[in-house]
Formats: sequence, C-alpha cells, structure tokens
Amino acid sequence: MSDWHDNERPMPPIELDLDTADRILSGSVEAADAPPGFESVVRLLQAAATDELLEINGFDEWRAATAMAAAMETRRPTGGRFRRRTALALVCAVTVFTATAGLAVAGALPGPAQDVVSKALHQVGVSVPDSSGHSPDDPRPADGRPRGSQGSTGSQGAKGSKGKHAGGTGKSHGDQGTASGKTNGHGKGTGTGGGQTTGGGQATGGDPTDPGNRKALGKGKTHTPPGSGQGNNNGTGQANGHGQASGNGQANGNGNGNGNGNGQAGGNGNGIGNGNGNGQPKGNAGGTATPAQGNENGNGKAQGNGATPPAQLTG
Amino acid sequence: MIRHIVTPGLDIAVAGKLNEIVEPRVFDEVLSSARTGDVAALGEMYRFYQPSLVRYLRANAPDAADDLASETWLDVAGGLERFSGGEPDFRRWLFTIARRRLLDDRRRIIRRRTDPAADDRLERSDPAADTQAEALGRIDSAAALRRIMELSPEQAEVVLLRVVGGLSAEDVASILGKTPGNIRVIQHRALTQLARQTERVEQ
Repeated sequence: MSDWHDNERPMPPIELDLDTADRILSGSVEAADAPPGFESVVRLLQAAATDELLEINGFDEWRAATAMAAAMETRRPTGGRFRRRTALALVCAVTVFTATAGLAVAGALPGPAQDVVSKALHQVGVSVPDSSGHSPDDPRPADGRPRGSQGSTGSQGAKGSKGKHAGGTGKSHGDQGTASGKTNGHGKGTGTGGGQTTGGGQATGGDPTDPGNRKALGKGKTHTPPGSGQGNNNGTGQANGHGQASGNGQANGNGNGNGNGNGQAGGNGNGIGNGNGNGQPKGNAGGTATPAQGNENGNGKAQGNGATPPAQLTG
Repeated sequence: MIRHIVTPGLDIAVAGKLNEIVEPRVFDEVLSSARTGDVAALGEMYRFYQPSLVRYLRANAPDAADDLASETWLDVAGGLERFSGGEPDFRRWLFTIARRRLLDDRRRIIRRRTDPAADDRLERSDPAADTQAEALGRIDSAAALRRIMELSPEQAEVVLLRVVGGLSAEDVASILGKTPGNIRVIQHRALTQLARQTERVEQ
C-alpha cells in the first residue's frame, strides 16, 4: 500500500496554441489528433454539436413554415413597392407641410417664405401672420387688395406765418396753424415711396414702384417751397397731422395719423418728408417735407394745420 | 441525407435538400423561394437550422428555448425579404437574432423576478452521472452543454456559438461586438479551462 501522497501527481501543464484551439472549435480536429490533455475536450465538443437533443418531425416543420409564411404575408404590404413608396412620399410630404405650417404659425420662417405660407394658408382659411406680423385676415380695402400699413403722408401743408417775412417762393399765413393730414392711399402691403409735398399743404407721395396711389392734400395755407415726402406706402392709410411751419417759408409739421394704415408722417419745416409704414393696420404717419422732389405715385390727401413762426420763407 | 417527408404543403423535391443547403447554389435557391413565402423552402430552412438553434437556446434558457426559437423564426420571416447574403451570413444573422431574443428574455426575467430563482442549468444537471459518463468516454449532448455552461458566461457564449452555432471566430466576433483576436483568446482560455475540468473529473 502506498502513501496517499503518491497519488498526488502534479498537474501537467496544458499547452495549446491559438490556432489549434480554433481548429478544435471548428470541428476539424479529431480526438485522436488532439494535443495531450485535450482529447476529452474534443469528445465533449463533439457531443455538444450532435443533434440528439432534437428530433424535428414533419408536422412541426410544416407548422413552423406555415407560421413563417403567414408572418411574411401579413408584413408584406399590398400593392407592392410602388404603394409603399407612395405612402412613404405622402408621409414625408405631410411631415414637411406640418413642420412648415408650425414654423409659419410661430413666425419662425424667413420673411419671403413666411409671406408665401401666410398667403397659401389664408386660402384655406388659416390665419398666419406674414413676415411683417400682419394677418391676412385684417380688414381689406374695397378693392380687395390687402391693406397694409398706411403710406406716409406727405408733409402736411403747414399753415405758415403770414407776414412781412414771407419771402422766397412761398407765403405763409398765420403765425401758427395746425396741420392735419389725411392720406387715402392704396397700396400693396409693402413698398417704400418717395413723395412730393408742396409747401402749400399738398403732399403727394408714393413709390414709383408702388402700384398704389397716394395723394396728400393739405389744407394749410402756408406757402412753402414744395416739399417732398418719403415714406413707405403700405396700403391705405389715413393720417391726421398737425404741425408747424417755420416762418421762413419752410413748413415744419409733424403729422400723426390714425387711419387704416400705419406709418408716420411728419413734416418738418425744412420740407423733407419721410414716412415709414410698418405694415400695421393702424398707426401713425410721419413725414418731412422738403422742397418738392420725388415722384408722385399715389393718391393721398393731407389735411394739415400748421403753425409757423413768423414767416421767413425761402425757396 | 435525403428525407422524404409527407407534410401538407411541403414539396418533397425541395425537402430533400437537407445538408445540401450549405452549398451556395442550393442555399440561394432555397432562399429565393423562401423569400416568396414558399412553405416548402421555409420548412427546409427550419429543418436545417432549428436543431442547432434550439441547442444554443436550451443551453442558455432551457425553459424558454422553444418559445425563443419560435420568436427567432418569426423575426427571420419578417426580415427575410431584406436579407441578402450567403449561407454563412444567414447563419450569423439567425444566431444574432436568437441571441437578441435570449437577452430580451433575460431582461424580462430580471424585471419580473420577485424572489431568488434557481439556476435552471444547475437544477437540471446531474454531476455524478455526467462524471461517470465522461469517465467511460461517453457523454451525451445535454451533459456536454452543461459542462460548457460551467465556463464563464463569456467563454460559454463563445464556445456555444462556435460549436453549436457552427460560426467562425469572425462571425462570433461580429455577433458579440468583439474583435476576432479577442474571440480567439477567449476560446483558447475556454478550452484550457475545459481541459482542466476534464482532468479533474478523470482523477
């Protein structure tokens, strides 16, 4: 009988390179050809690879195949790829339209795009503001064109001073007057215009490129050198202004108008009129009159009362 | 092997191509038929791949293996029209789907578990019988799978996919998201570990 220590053999080192391990797992190494210590491993792997666990009968096979075919049939869209592509295109179009409309409602589109979308959606009864913040649902003039902001008045015809200092080409009447202007212009929603204002209280303004007409007529008696007005004519506007005309024959007037359009018209005695229309339905108009220059492309009416210091009219 | 299976809807001519399916020409033929929903071709593929698929799943989830295999085949059916490639590609795709279903099942079990569950693998094993069988040089498939599952999860996964799935190291690397070199190192360690286990059993 041997000592129990005799049975305690040291475990031999197991040597296996990567390639041999790969070949064993590929099943290309038989147990007899396996490296020492790996014969049983090869047998074990062979046993794991056998099919004894599972016997597939014909019925199981048929049932599984039928279920797969049914699954394929239910997932297959009717109408083939054409319909699938059409549906995909439709989904894409709806997605783009929805996103664009959402951005338009939020006013987040670029200006021209916002205008286009606003008009397009207005056709289907959806009110979306345009790039200037206007809604197409705002009141329109009788001609049906969209009413934009008012064109600026021409400078108001200021009532100038009357007196001995009057000279130059104009005459002023009165020391002080008020000017009120009213413009009735027709214009498109956008546009800038240059106006012409007569010192006598008539201002015409408009943008040569503006199909609308604007004319400002002032009631003031001041005779000042013709002035010009610049402004934005954005539709029909009405301005009532008052101002002052300097005695030197230059009308100084500030016109503030309330009307259907927006803008500011202010007349200064130097006869330069500037008007800006911001496209809002209602607002103020301001303009400055200068010796008349500019183009008249508008119909407007300004009724102004101006006040001037003692007239020193200059041309 | 020629099998003549009289099964409703199954074409005997197609059904006789078992084991020939690994040939590219035969596989392409079967695949193109299966894509059209041909029951015979689908049955052919099922019959060829199902045994290894179920063995792989049973080693990992004995109780859910059959259900997971069914889910795998339904996924295959759903994606068969989009599949392109040869037989090795299909095999890799099949086991990729199976592994995903397996991982889903494990996550499902973890979510639903309210008390510690016994390990199915250990519960079903009979170490004494396995040892005796191995000592006699006889080991059945189930015992072999149990021995493999005693490896680390990573090693067991690699060995199962390589031996049971019949996949290459590159394919296994693709499925497991590792490099082929990494897979070779893992499988080398796995075989070394198996050899040591076997040696202990024999002693």
